[in-house]
Amino acid sequence: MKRKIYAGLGTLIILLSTYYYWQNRYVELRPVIRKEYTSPLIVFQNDFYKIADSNEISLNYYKNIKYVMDRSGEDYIIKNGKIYIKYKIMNDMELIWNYTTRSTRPDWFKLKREMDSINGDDYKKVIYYK
Amino acid sequence: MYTSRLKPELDLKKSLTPSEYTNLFGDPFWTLPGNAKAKSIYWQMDDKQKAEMLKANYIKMIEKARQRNWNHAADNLQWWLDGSGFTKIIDFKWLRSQREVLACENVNIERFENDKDLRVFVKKLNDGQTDNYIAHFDHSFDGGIFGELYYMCGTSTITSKCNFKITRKKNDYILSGIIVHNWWDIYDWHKSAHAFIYGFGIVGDSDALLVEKYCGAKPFKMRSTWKQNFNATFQRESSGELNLKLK
Repeated sequence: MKRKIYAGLGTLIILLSTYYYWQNRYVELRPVIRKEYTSPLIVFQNDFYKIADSNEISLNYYKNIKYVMDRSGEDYIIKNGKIYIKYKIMNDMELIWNYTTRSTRPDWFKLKREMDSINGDDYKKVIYYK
Repeated sequence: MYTSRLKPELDLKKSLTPSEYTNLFGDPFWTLPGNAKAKSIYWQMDDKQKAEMLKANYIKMIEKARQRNWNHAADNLQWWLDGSGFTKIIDFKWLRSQREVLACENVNIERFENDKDLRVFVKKLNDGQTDNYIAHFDHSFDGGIFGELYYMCGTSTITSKCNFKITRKKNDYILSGIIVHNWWDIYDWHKSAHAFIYGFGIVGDSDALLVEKYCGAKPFKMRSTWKQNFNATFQRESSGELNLKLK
């Protein structure tokens, strides 16, 4: 009986550890865009989005994404010039879509400039947040 | 004015009774087939005449929607058929009566509650200091097939923008401010898409594109804005997370 309990606990620990590792491993940050339309009757939140091909995304993404990640308080590492984030963050495609649109549209930058100007902060130095 | 270029036996107005003319698809929900005569004539018509027949079907959809008291869905279809292309402002009270909209609004509020940027923002606040925090989040969603929202728009988005004033008083943070929710969508069609329309079956978007091409229907933008006020006190936990609850 004891052996069965230990085996069960061992399996549970292995499964939880695998899950923890899987969720927290670092994967490359890729730009996410909205799919043109969705037609299935049952839609999961990630079904609204897709990883963008390089020709589907503005060059501003590559220019601004590091600043957006810094300014959004997001944890990341850089390897060979590429940004890596935790899988659990990358798997929240809507959040990454938010980061992608922030990096490609001026409205988010305008918003942050407005906030920094109200607070008397220097917009360019606000990266000290990290 | 309508003038037929078809043989007299294919002339829509003369060959079909009004009920046949508007019963191209039948009612697949109740397994009622469309009118066979109407279908056979439909397949022999040119695109312009097909578009006119399809337009009649869309008008029938508007009637059916009004019978079910789905007036927002009916109004939008009519707005598209009228072809003004003007932006349509949707009543936010009606939108907020739809469970999908409220769920979406809550998703964005939760995004603010768990916003990592907000965590680092409050971390830098000194005792007694007040600063403004401004941010926005987008959330996209579809209406459920049994509700009116499914028929009145496609995949729509709520862009929520917060403007909070946050004051630090020792270990407490006092927040007051607003979140402005901006709901938006474009009432348009996509060539390879289709949708199930109750009472009309699976209707291809290509039908609607034909009506746009020949009958003057036009896509349009829809939007609606509402504001919520918030007052909350929260603390920063040792893990760095905030126990902020806005709902």
